[in-house]
Amino acid sequence: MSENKSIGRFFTENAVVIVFVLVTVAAIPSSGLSIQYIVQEMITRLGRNTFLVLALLLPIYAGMGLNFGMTLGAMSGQVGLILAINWNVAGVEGLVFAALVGTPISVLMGYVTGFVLNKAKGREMVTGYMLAFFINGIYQLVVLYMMGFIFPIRSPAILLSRGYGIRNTLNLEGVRQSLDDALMLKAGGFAIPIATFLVIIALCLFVIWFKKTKLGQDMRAVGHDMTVADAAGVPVDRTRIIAIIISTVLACYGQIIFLQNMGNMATYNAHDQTSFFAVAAILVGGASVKKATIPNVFIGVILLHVLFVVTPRAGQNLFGSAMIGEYFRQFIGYGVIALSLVLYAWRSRQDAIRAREGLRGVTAAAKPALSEGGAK
Amino acid sequence: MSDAVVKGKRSPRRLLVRLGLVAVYIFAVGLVFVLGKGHTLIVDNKDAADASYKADDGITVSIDRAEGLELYKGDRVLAKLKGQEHSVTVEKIDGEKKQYRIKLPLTEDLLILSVPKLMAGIEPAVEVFVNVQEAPKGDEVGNSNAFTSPGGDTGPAGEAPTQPPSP
Amino acid sequence: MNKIKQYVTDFGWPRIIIFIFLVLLFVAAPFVKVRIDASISDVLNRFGQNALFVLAMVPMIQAGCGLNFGLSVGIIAGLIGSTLSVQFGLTEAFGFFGAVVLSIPFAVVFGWFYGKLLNKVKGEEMTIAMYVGFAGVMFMCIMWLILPYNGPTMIWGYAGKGLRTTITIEGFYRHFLNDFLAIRIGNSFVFPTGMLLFVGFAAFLMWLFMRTKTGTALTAVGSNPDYARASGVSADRMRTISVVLSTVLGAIGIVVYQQSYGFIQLYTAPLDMPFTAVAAILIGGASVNKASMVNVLVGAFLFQGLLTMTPSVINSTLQTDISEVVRIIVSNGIIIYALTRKTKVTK
Repeated sequence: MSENKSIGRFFTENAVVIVFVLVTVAAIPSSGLSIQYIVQEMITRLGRNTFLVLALLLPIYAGMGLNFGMTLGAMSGQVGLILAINWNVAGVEGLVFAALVGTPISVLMGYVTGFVLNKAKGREMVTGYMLAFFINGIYQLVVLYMMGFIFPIRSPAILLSRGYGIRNTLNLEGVRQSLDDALMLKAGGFAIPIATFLVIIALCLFVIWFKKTKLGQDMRAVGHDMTVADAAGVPVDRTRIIAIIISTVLACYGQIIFLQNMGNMATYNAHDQTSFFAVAAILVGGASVKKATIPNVFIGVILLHVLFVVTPRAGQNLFGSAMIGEYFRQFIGYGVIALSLVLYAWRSRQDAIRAREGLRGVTAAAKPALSEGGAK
Repeated sequence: MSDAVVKGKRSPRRLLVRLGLVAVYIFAVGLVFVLGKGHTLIVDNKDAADASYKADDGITVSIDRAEGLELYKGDRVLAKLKGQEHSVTVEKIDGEKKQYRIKLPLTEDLLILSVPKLMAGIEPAVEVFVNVQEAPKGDEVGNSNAFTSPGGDTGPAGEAPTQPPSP
Repeated sequence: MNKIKQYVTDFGWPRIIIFIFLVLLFVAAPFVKVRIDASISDVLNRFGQNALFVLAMVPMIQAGCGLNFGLSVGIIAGLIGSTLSVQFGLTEAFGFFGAVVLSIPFAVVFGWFYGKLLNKVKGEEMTIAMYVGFAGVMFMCIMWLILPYNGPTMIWGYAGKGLRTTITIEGFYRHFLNDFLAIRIGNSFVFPTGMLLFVGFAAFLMWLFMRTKTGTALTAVGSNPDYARASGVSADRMRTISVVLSTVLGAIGIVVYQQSYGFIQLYTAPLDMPFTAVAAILIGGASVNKASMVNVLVGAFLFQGLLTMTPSVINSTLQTDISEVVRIIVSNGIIIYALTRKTKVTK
């Protein structure tokens, strides 16, 4: 009896991962892509995206859910890159320059985000999502109208032909692949950007170390139960803000790493999909709104991106249309986030109901009446 | 909040630490700026207008440790460099090799190095290149749909799919 | 003095700011060579177009399901209905009402499933609603490409397979409501009587419904769940009803929108629409768990007024197209403001 239950629980807890593996395994043969190609893509995308996904860990740890406000950090990193390109700072130095310039901006953005989210306790994810769009408007105001007009831009090549505003696509020639190439290992037919992975590993170590510090422990307490933490003397609001600030700064760096790999920056669109991809990745990796680990990040990035590489081709081969593959990719992406959120919410309600019943020592007969209605 | 009391006690030390961090930050920004400043160098092998120097034919110029650039008489080649000080190794067609050092000004992007001048020892061998071309056109802002409607105008993008839902 | 203060806090600063801003735009209009009559006509048009979407927000807000970011589900049902109507070649009255009638069964079914889903996730409805909406739209994108439509105006010319992104309804039911009893003054002013009557009627019906037994039970579930439970009202049932109602309104809403706009927009067009409806009702003064007819009408009017006037006036002034950016900042700023308000009935 209980055996069935635990198998059932295993499936619901890992449903997303299971669905993903199944769909991916089914799609690989129909895509017609070689394993060599897929593995190389996986390596490249791991290097490109992992940092961004790692940025999501701390807010989840602090009980603030999925930080859709990471887009703000991405935008800060982009501003840094625009200035780096503007002043023609090349190579890894250019990336460090962009990161340094982006840091104070992302700290400010993180502070604003944390402040707003504290005012919307219980609705953090929606608010973060809307805040990203709001700041996107400000970003456009600055980058599309003020740069070149109020902020002097030195390189006319990056401006629109009307004289002000940054071009739609920014060629990151000077810094393209500079982190990746710094220590590129070519082995077994694959190109592995060691330097990038070293940076990622450094971040993982940072996160592990941070969780052991007092601040990290405070975040854990806040994430567990805000009222209990407050009673224990933990500055709840401040801790939450710090969690978001760190996350935003990491998103800034992560976006710079992402863009140096891409080589080109879609000035007004590059950050739009950032949070979507990162959130989808961490959820696919088995994380939930309340709990996320480092393995979730790596597993998620691999699963999500293999699927994203394979499905358009599979869609094309199966339906004869690249568009269908493209839409299918989007559908899976949004669907997996929805599925994960639903499973998490459903599971936590079940847990709460079970806990309540446990406290009351309720009999089976009285169950239906109590699970009706539910808290709002 | 218990912060207030603690703040008062550690205030001078905190301020010092903060100022120190700002100083480190400014230094770091300056450092990467100087180290990473990119320059586009036009390597030129032309005769002087007033015959004060002549260009050698078939020379191979390598900057720092890059591959040699072959230049015939009248050639011009582009080289992208990072940083201000570079070594230029010129190998003449008869095998004679000589190494020179050049220093590029920090604030200039487009510079021209006249190799014959460099070899003849005439200063300055590196000058600012005055570019009379216009900035490249095209790639307009175009339709305002691009960054507001959620994939109103879409297209299957290569790397990252478009259609960001944006209100 | 106190009364004025009270009124101001009740009305809310953002609404006042937006109202003043809108008035300023209207005042500035003639100075920058923007025609007032054309502007008012535009505003009325857009108001009518979008009003039903905003109205669709009310049931779910009242029932405590939050803001319906998943309105796309209803819109999709409406798109299915309208594409079928064009496919069958229905015109004028048959076209419009045909589209509505064909959409409703889809809307009810979709809404019912959607409602059941939301019931399982009480507390996190809004984010999930958003992603369910997105996933649904993407799924339909695939469907639009493979469903066996064959109306000649609807499918791609060359490939012959799959629906076009935009399908004109000229000759079908374009402006069917708008032109009904329309009042024309001069060249640029058209008062779309038919549409505004339809919208008014729908709002009236909603107002009536909220006063029926079901309606009050619905509100009770949203504002005082314990009392509702004690009175024997099933919260789940009420919530499902609210979702179905919202979805159906979304479906009818898109048909009204289409007849005014003149085109059926498929594929990713529905992704954006829930957000504008949410912004509108929040501007109208609604909160995450309380909304009234006044909120709907005032909000839709203010929001669409903003959307219409800002581009024309600011662009004429600055000689540049800064309107989209202003719109993004304003509409999202409003939503954030509303989300950060403290509410009496918390999650």
